[in-house]
Amino acid sequence: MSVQGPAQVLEIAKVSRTFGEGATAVAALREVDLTISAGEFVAVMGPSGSGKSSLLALAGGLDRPTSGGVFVESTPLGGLGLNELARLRRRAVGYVFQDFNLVPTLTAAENVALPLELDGTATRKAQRQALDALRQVGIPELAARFMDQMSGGQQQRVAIARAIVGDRRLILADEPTGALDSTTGHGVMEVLRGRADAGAAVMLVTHEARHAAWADRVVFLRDGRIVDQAAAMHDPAMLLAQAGN
Amino acid sequence: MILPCSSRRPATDVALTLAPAPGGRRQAFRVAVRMARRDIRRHKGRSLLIILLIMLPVAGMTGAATLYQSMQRTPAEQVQFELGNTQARFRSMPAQNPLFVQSPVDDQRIASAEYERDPLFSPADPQDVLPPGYEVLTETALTVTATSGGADVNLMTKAVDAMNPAFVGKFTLLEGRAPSGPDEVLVSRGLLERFNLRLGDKLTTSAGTFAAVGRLRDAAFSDGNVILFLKPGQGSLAPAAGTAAQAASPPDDRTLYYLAGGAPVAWPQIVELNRRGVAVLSRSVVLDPPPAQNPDPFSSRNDWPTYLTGGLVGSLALLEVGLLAGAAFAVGAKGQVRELALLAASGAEAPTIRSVVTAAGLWLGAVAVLGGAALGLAGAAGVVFWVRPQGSVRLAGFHPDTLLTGTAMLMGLLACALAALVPARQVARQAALGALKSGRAPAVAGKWPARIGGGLLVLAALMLGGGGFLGLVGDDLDELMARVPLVAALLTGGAVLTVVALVLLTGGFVSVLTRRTGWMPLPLRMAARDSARNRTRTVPAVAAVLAAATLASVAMVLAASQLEDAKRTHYWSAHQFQAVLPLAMAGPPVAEDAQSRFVPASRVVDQAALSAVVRQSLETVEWTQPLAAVAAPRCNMRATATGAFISGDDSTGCLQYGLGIPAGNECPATPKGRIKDASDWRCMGSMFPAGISGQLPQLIVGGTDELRAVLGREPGEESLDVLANGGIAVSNPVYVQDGLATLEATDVRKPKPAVGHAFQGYEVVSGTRLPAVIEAPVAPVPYYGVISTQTAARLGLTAEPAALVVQLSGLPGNAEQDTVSAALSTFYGVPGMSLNVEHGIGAEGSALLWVIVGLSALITLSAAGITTGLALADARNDHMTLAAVGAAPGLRKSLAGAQSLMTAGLGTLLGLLAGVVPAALTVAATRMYAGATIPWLQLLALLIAVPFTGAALAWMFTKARLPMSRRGAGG
Repeated sequence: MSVQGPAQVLEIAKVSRTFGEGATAVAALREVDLTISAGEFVAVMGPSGSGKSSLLALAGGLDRPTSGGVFVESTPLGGLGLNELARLRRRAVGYVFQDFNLVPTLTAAENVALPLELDGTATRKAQRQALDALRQVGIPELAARFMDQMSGGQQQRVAIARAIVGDRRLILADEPTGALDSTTGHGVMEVLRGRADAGAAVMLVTHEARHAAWADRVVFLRDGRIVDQAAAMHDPAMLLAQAGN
Repeated sequence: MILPCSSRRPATDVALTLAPAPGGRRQAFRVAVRMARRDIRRHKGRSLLIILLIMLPVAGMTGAATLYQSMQRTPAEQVQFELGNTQARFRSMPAQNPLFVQSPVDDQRIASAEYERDPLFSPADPQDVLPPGYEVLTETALTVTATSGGADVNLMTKAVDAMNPAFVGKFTLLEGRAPSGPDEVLVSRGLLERFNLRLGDKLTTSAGTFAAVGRLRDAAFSDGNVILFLKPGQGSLAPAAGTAAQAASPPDDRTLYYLAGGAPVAWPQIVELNRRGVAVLSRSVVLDPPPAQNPDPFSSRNDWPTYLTGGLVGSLALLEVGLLAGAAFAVGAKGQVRELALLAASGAEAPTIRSVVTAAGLWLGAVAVLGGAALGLAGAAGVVFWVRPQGSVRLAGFHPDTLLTGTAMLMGLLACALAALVPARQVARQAALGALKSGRAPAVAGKWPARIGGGLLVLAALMLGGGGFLGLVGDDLDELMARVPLVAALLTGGAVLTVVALVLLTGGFVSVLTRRTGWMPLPLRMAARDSARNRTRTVPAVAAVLAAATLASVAMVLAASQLEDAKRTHYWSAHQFQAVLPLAMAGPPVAEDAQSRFVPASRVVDQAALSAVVRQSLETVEWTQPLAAVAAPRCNMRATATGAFISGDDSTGCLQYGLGIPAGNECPATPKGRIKDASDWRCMGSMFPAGISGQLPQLIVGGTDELRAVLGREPGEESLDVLANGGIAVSNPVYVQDGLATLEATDVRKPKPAVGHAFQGYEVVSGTRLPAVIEAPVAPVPYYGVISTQTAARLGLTAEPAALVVQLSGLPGNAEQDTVSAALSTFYGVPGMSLNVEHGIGAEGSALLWVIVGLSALITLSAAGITTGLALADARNDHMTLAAVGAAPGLRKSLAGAQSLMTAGLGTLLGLLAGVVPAALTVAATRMYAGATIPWLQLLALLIAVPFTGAALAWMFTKARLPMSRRGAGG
């Protein structure tokens, strides 16, 4: 009887991304290799301009690499058309942005149900699943509220609920706590950790070592290259020391 | 509290499939519609603007279509207005033979396969063919006059028993009572107004004096008509009841016979009556007409030109508003960029993202067209229900047209959807990530519009060039004119393509024209760059102005050219506000031979007395001047069996004197008789063709006073000298060559051989060369020459009083016309005399051009205002930044002004180029008018005054205060 390890959800293979051309060309990523398996929580750290957000965008199919390949659940994104990429995002990838990015014309529940509805799920069924997701992030009572009727922390929880709704296997979070106070930020990290524990692959871009400390693995980026990777360090100070090196 | 995740799900238990989900697109569209609906609610001002933009033209089109249909009578209205409660109306039909047939629904529309008169055909008198078993009511038209301001005025008079119950629905007593005696009558409102009467007042007519006791409406005539209603047999002129046609031997076409009661008159009966020359309007046939014949001789009515014109105007209106609404949608889409980008990040495909914006277009469009249709229908209903009681028959009833209303609604909805589609495509194309990061729409300028626009512009240039070449290059005018249809098609197609191309290229123009703006003052620089950066908002507004300016400039060039042509060809019967009255009246021919001889007689009137009569009748007489002229021929002539005339023994009375045109001074014409060059001096003005006489005599005998009268100014020394030296002062230069004019005598008994049917004048029997001076009159009144009394005597010419020139200070009013007409009729002893005053060329033409400028300005200012408002709303964050860096509050006003100037100026400039060139080319190449006239003043007003007015208005109506917030200040 063979024993299989956790399946790879995200594979980034020798990916480079260059913006502009000629003298104005800027290399955001240079031959980056990274894999994230199911149930794994990976934090990406690095200074501003190191390529963290570019890496996240490539992972979610929002951008295409200049060279190299990106695979989500073994599906090469390079071969997908725009519509297939859109389907991939709504079925497999959950995004959490720093500034929440909720659709202001939709209620919290509708925001969460959005990927499901876009994928053809009947409104009522999608709403039920959205309510489940909102329950998971602890704000089911806010289901009928619009964005401007919620605090920043509440909005971010809705954003996380939207990222986890359905059968998403890859959660990409770009500074999800950047606009939140520390208590609320802690709660957000708990949710992400919980999703990883439930089997999702989570990729977190963050500046803050205390949040990276929630991860199973921390990847350090500098000038578009992965300069180091570290196993889980639950002491942020040690992590900061590692990042400094 | 955040709940711990309860389930651990294997990551690979379900394979990732990327096939479209069943029903996914439908469900996604539902989401899009929901988002669009809520976005509309969140931006009420912008949504209202779009709704109004679409609603108003739809309302206009619906209203116009409804009013047009309301002008057409329904069969029920037709029988009510024409027949009242009677069964049918019989009338004489002007038939030439038994083949004439009438329209089943209109007894006055007739047709025939043969229009030659059949000598054996004798039309029956309607009275003789009336079927038995009916009560017969007559309505007879009479000629009656009444006196107003001393003049006799014709009255439309009907002898009819209007109060008979059979006429209910046709005649309605609106006020007063029915006549109870022979000296009481009913009248129309128009008659009361014309004679300034009230009910109870008396009116003296040629049929007697009557008291108007009631105001009656004839449903077939507007109340404004001057109608006197007598009873059959009433008054001294009216025929007795039932005897209208008895006295006349041919059928009496003045009397209509209405049949009341009895059975319906069927179509076969009418067909049979038509063969006998009688037409019938039957209630039953109108309500249930027979199937149309094949071919239908009455199918000539063609509404398509009306529908096409209405459709074209409506389409242009919707194109304009579609472009303007496009700007509003562009701003809306821009405001939604982040939201839509998020939608993309959440997995929405491009069609779903487009759907959000287009769904807004459909929502707003649906509201707008429903509102527009309701408004149009309500407006039309209001007009109909207001106009009908006023007594106008122009609108028969309220007749909404489902098809036309539906078409207008569909066009409005389509315009709105298309207006939304362009920004929707733009937004859907942009990179979601960039939008999410910056919240702005990254400029994704498609190259296809510019490429297509460039291609179309080249094609348009080829068509315009080809049309111009075919229309202008060549010497054979007849051949050039044969090409006109092709030339017109090429030029029209080229003009349309030019507009389409320029609309497509507007984005490129905006980009190019706003590239080098570093030298501009700050507000203009910022406005220019804002226009370039926000082309999705700028381009539709500029395109809307462009389209309006194109149409306006085309209309202005065509109108100006037509007006110039009309001025050039205006027939000046005399100088402005002048009238010419005859001093010699032709008398009845003196019969020498009852069959074939006559001698024209003449009666000279006293010019001093005539002048006094005119002066007494009119207070605006400035001066009068009698003119003597060389006597007209008075020739005894006798027609031969072949139709030619031979003279008796008169050898001088048959000569007619005039000026000859020297060789080389004729207007050059093509073999087919076309004028080669309308601007040639020999072919211009109302003096062409030479020799056509107006009210003024052609060859005047006199001196300074006569010259002054016909010139409209003081005569020059040279012409007075030439008169004194036995010469002639000539108004038209074509008669003069080398300082000489030839006085020719032609014999009116000897016409030259005709060319085709064209009369070529009479044979010249003698010619006398006289020294001549050209003395051009103020207005190009038809040809005349003036010689002195001594010269006339020397040449053996008889001078006799010919005309009295009356110069007025202005046009007389209706009352003055009545007065002077009556006085002249009395003076001459001839009924119907009137004073025909030359109107001249009014300022109406120039007013028309200014109206076009005004309409175009309205669209331009609307477009500029809308885009400026949208730009201000769009640039709120920029304004916060400006405020944060210490910009003066006035800068916002300046920015608004500059934005408006940019939109209006650029659109107008491109529009004028697109309009003036093809229009001028079309006029020149098709010889539509004598030449293309460019109304520079109005065009400059459109190009400069309107954009600056827009800028000033934008500056005035913009709040000065810059918005402030911590975010804008960077706090």
